[in-house]
Amino acid sequence: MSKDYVRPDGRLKNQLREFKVEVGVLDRSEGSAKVNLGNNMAMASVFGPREMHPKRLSRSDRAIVRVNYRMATFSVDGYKRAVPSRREKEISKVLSEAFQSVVLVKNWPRSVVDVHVEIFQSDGGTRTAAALAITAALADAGIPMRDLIGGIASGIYEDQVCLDLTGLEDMKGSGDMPILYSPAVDEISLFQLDGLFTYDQFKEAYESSLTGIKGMVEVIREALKEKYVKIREEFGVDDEDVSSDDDMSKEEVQLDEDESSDDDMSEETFEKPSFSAVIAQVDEKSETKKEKKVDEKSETKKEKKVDEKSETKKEKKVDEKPKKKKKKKKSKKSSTELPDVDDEDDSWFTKPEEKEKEEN
Amino acid sequence: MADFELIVNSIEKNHINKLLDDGRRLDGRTLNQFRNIKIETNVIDKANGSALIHLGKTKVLCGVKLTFGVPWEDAPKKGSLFVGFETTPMASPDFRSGPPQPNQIELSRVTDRLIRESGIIDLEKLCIIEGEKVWQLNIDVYALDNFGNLFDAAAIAAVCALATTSIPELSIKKGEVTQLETSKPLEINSFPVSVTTSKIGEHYIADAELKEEQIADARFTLGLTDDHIVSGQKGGENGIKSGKIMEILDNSIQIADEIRKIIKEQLPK
Repeated sequence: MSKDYVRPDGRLKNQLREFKVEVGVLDRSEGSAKVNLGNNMAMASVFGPREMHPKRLSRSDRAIVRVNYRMATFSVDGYKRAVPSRREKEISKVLSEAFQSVVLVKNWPRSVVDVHVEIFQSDGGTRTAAALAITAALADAGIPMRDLIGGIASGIYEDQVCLDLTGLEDMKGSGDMPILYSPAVDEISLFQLDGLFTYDQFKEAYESSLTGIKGMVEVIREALKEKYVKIREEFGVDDEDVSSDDDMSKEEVQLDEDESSDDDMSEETFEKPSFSAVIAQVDEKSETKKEKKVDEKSETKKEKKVDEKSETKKEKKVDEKPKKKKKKKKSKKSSTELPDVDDEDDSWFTKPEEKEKEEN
Repeated sequence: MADFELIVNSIEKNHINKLLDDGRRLDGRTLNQFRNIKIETNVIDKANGSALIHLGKTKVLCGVKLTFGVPWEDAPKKGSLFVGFETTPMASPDFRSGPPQPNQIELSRVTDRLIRESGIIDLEKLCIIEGEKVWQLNIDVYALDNFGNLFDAAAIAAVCALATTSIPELSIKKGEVTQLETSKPLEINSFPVSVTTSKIGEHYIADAELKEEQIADARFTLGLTDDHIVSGQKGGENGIKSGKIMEILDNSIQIADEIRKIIKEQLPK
């Protein structure tokens, strides 16, 4: 009986919402990711490891992963005040602790890995959506981690244990249990619970969450691979070519980058265009994903992406004190993006229902 | 995260670990044993209900104040409830005055969830005039002395203060509310207890004292009533093996039953 229970949005008890991950969606940060989990839309970006400010928060033997979880003013029904709420501060804290447990923090004493995650649209389970975006963004930034983290908020709706609650189910339901879990190291990194769970409900919710999370982590892993598969296709090289010519190609790329960045660009002009370029890029990415088409625009952009990646990789190898140099290069990087300016696409901001219709 | 940590030196750390290997602890307790709980109620006359809790050397003070408020739009028949936790600088050298720090916000919100979700107070009984006027229940917990495990101490304090809260009687005539001299006790519907388990190495201990708390890898707090799990929060910078969660739950339920008895014995009838 309870197995056939159908939820308000037509899902079964253990059925998750549609889950999409894209990595490398932002260019200024070292790593970034966008997650769509049902109607939730979360975006995360990673800066660092870099020097900790304020200094008193630094630790002599390790880096701190500092997650800043925020919800956009337009992300909820009504208008959310821009000041960080106590809820946001609590979630930032628990997310920081969760990622502190998987990132190899002992690699960078006295530093900080800054993670900013913003919920642009919320519909239940925003902290797990945020966590999924953070995992992907950290991996995209090349931050070494013991494992990826996946997460599901399960709960009780109409006396049924349901996985991945929507906002409606969360509000009308009688229990909510967000969990973050890393399957490979088999560790719970975040656990919160509120509501009324009986022992059996607790057990059911907990165990089915873990099963669901394992699947989600695979989706993230695929999204990360996909990015590099695309880069490889772009250059049309095999594994062996990559390994042998690795350093040479990087050198070339580096030179190109430096030359092109000699153009003078004032501070104000590059900021805005690079953002719209990102918007365009995001949309193209999702389109190519769905339709398996590669058009010219996305090709050129992908090239740019490759350049930047290899650039930052190189930096990490060569530089012992990456901070100052990086700052310079960042501005260069952005100025090279100017030719990519493309304003035609603002469909990124359309509501997900419309978007889904388009896609279908 | 506190701004700076109280550092436990490695000799002491090793000592604690070695003791735990033998199933012993610094202060001679067993792994699942809570420190002594001592409860004083009605310590603040100005408050509608209050309790001073000693959990070993940890001390917290809770006061409950009833004020008039306006109900939330989506719940016109329900009173409102607020739980706050103040990490006063007097309690510990690493608590600072000023705007609430993340650890303070976490303590507040975890205690709030425990009280709210347990249904200990029937909020509908706090309604005075539907959609217009309700009782607002302000529960504030002040840390006085932090010797570890503020989470559980705060929960005990809040529940005990609520259990001794009296609510002023009102006369309502033509929509006008006047407060009478008399009062009646606030009804308590459940008895939630918080149990915090700390992970040190491969050991799991209940009610960590200060030094144990400082060296703990992770913390797992569960709020439990007689028959339900009402709140939960994992903290700390390390993960907990997935298989351990159900063990911690089973253990916590047993401990909660014991603590509940101890608390009930000390509360005035």
